[in-house]
Order: sequence, then C-alpha cells, then structure tokens
Amino acid sequence: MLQRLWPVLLPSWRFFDTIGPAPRLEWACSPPGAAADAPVRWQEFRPLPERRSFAGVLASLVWAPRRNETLFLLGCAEHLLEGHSAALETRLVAAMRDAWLAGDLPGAARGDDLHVRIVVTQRDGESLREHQAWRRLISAGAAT
Amino acid sequence: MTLSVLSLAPAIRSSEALLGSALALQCAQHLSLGACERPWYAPRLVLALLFACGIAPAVTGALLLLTSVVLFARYDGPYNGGSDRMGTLLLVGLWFAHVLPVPAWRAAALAYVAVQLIASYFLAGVAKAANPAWRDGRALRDVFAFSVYPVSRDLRALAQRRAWLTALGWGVLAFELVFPLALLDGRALVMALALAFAFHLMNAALFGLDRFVWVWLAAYPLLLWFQSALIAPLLRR
Repeated sequence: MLQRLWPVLLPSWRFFDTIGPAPRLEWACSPPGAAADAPVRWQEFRPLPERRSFAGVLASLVWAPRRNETLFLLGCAEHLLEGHSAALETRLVAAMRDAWLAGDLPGAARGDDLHVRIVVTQRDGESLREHQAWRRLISAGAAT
Repeated sequence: MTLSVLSLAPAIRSSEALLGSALALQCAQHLSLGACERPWYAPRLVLALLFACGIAPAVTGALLLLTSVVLFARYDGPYNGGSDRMGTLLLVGLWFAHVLPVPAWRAAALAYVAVQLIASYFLAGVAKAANPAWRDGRALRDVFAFSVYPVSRDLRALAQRRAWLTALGWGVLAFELVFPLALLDGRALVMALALAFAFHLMNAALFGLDRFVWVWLAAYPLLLWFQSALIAPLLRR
C-alpha cells in the first residue's frame, strides 16, 4: 500500500518535461485463421476529429470519458514499450476486445480476427518517423 | 499586501466540496463507459458526493482513499497521471485535517499539500527549463506535431507556427518558475491562481486534460489559506 502511495505523497511533478515518441493504437480485421502477421488494412483506434466546436470544447471540460480512456490506453501503450509488462499487454488486449464487443471499432465483424498494433511516431531531425512497435492477434473466438 | 485571512475551516470545506465534486464527476464518467471497475466506481461516486457535501468527511475521506489505492493497484498506477496523484494527495491532506488530534499537525498536513501545489508548478518549470527543446520551442512544436495530446487534427497545424510556439513555451516556463513568488502578496496570489486556472483550461481545451482543471482548482483554497494564515504573518514580522 505504501508503495502505491509513496509517489502520491512525494510526487515529482515533471509534466511535459520531454516530448518523447508518441504511440498510436491501430486495429484491423481479417478472416478467421489468418496469420498473425498477415497484411491487413489498418485503421486508427478512435481517430481524432478533424476539428472541435467551441460548444464541444466547453462540454469536454466536464464530460470526456472516452477521451480520458483513450489517453489512459495510450499511456498503457507507452509504458508497455518502455518495458514489457504482461499486465499492461493483457489490459490493452482486453480494452481492444471490449471496444470490439461494444461496437467501438466501426466495420469490425464479430466473426473476424482482430489485429491490434502500436505505431510509434518520433522526431528524426526535422522530419517525423513512424514504426510498428508491437502487434497482437485477437482471435474471433474472443469476441463471442 | 494580504487579503482578509482565509481561516482553516472554510478553506477545508471549500476544498472538500470542490474535490468531492471533481471525484464524483470522474466516477460518473467511468460508469458511463461500463468500466470493469464499476463495483469500485459506483460506491466511490456515492462517497465523493457525501464528501462534497461535508457528510462524515473523516469516514468518507478514508473510504475514498481506500478506493484510490485499490484503483491504483488495479490500473498498475494512476489512471490519469498527475491529476490522480494530486487528487489523492489532497484527499490525504484533507483526511488528516479531520483525524489528527493536534491543531498544529492538521495545519501542517494542509500546509504540505499547499507546498506540493506550489511545487507542481515550480518543479514542472524547472524540469522544462533544463530541456533545450523547451527553450527553443521544439518541445511545444512536437506536442502539437505528433504527441497524443491534441484533441483535434486541425490543432496539428499549429506545429508550423514556430515563433508563436516559442513565445508560448517561454510564457509557460516563466509562469511556472515565478509562481512561488505570488506567495509574497495575497492579491498577487489570487491573480496567479486565476492565471493558473486559465492555463489549466487551455490545456483542457487543446489537449483534453480536463481532469487536471477541477482537481487543481480544489487545492486552491488551501493555498489561499496557507498564504494568508502562515506566509503573510511571517512576512510581516
């Protein structure tokens, strides 16, 4: 218990001190039984809206559950890439499976296999570089 | 110069009302998602509302703390980083203010929270100042260009506005680094807190960090009390 409370009682408060590589969650479907590394058509998980209205911004000050959940999952992805953790991986896979079951992945059919990956964007001099850092297959059986 | 002294009891009550409301809002959001932690968030919502209303704060505060620790364990850390840490720290301070037997100890617990609130701005400023990317504007460019934080795609285009972002970065640095000086004067502190609140609103609007707004606001009454009751008398000596 003290181990959990210690960083709370003596926080470091280093908000945004460095801007490191940024993870993005993507998903894709394939017919059941496809290889785990089969080529698929990736889609961003909960892509950002093109723009937000002023009313939308105001509303989000008090109500943004999906946005906060997305930030949490991206935080899990970041921690997963910093040092592999079975618990984090389990949580990410479970969250994507739940999103699948809740119809939060537009066009994803229950009978398909679901592929999930983390793509990392990072600065490389004056340009940005992206690479796939992690990929998992969630079989169709998990969504039934 | 100081404003009228904010005494401890109204500072605690204001802070509890704001924190309880903020925690209740967080719980309602989790419950709307159908989170698997629903068995924890449903009672936590009730506890947060009771705490906000000042009903048995020693008991409701203790139970809220217990649920915070359980949720930290379930998430393997805080759900929302700094805002959960500040919320729990504030909860610890307010709970001590009800259960510690000696008035000076209660004041010390709340003063510690006030010092941490100042540190949350100042140390963040120090950490940024140590990074050349913050001093030359690259850090904010990267935040807008590719970080996970911008709330809409059109905000990514702000990454191209180098001069504006450099100025904004220096503005954030300066604000965070000089924030502790506001303790020297009551009116300056009120203005600094208004600016800080606006800063959190901007972060919420641009980066979706809404939970920080309400949790940090909940700690402000304790800082106003800290300045008027502890720092101002010291300065007058």
